[in-house]
Amino acid sequence: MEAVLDPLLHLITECRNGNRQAQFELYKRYSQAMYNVALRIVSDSAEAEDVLQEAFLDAFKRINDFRHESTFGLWLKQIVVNRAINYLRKRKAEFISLEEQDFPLEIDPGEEEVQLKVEAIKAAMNTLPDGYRVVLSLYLFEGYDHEEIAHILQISENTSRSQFMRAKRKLYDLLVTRGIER
Amino acid sequence: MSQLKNFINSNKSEFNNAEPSADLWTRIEGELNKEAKPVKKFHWSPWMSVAAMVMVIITIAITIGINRTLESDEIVQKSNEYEDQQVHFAGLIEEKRDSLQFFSASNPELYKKFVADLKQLDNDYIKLQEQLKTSPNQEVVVKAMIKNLEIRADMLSQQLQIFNQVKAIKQENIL
Repeated sequence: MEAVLDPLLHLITECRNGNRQAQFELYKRYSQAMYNVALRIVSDSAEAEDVLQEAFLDAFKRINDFRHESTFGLWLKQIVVNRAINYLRKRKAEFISLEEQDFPLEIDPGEEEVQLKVEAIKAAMNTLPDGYRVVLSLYLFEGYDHEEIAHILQISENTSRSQFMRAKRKLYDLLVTRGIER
Repeated sequence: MSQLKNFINSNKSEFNNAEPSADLWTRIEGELNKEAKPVKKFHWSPWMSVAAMVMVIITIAITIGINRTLESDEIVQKSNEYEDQQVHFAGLIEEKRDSLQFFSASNPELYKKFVADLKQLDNDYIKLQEQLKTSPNQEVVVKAMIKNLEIRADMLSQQLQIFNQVKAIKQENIL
């Protein structure tokens, strides 16, 4: 019965009929959020736009597959995430563990030691290797758990966990270093 | 969860403030139109067959109807009122028939399809004519015939529109 509660039901129905106006309405509603999802994963604005374009085209084409099992937004996000990860794969991104020596284990900054700032986090994310950034994005920003991330990236759940821990450590490392540099 | 996750959650809008180019929708729309194109392409779809057949039937019926109307004095004489109506519709139908014939030159395959169906209708109408001769109430029959003509004139207009559309699509494909 949740399907009835979806305020987008009408728009989605119209999209199934190929109504261009309805498609545009959905685009307006979701383009920015989805663009940021894609951008955080691929970390390149032109590629993020390509991802967005492909994802919307794909969603409109496959809209009959949308069964209201989740919200339309979550369904669309899944498409965006998968497309974005395909771009990373094309770059031959390594989703599983990088070299340990990149980040000495003893550096484990207590979270409270770092003043968190949006722009600093964004900048640090952009300098992370693809494999780290994608796990952080999916876990911290998109709210997927490790089971889901394991499925999306086709890695084990444990790998997802350890990868996340390393990525987070690296992120803090960057935040601290840059904080000092300033 | 962690401080980091909380921080991100409470600053969601700031983390989500990047915007795609303004022309991205135009690009998407362009792709959507590209995908829609094959559908636009002219091909003999079922509805066209149906439309063509209906058109043929109407054309024949009307042709015969006009001949019948103009030729059979006995019916025309029944009433001046009926005559006027019949002439009116006959004129309309004649006009549309001319247009149809004009289109048939550019759509010979469409027209061919009509002709076969037309013959069948021809036979049907002859049967009707026979019945009319023996009908005890000719006025009712004539009224029905006029109504028939009226409907056919309407339908013929619609068919002409379809023909125009077919023609437009064809031209588009040529371009």
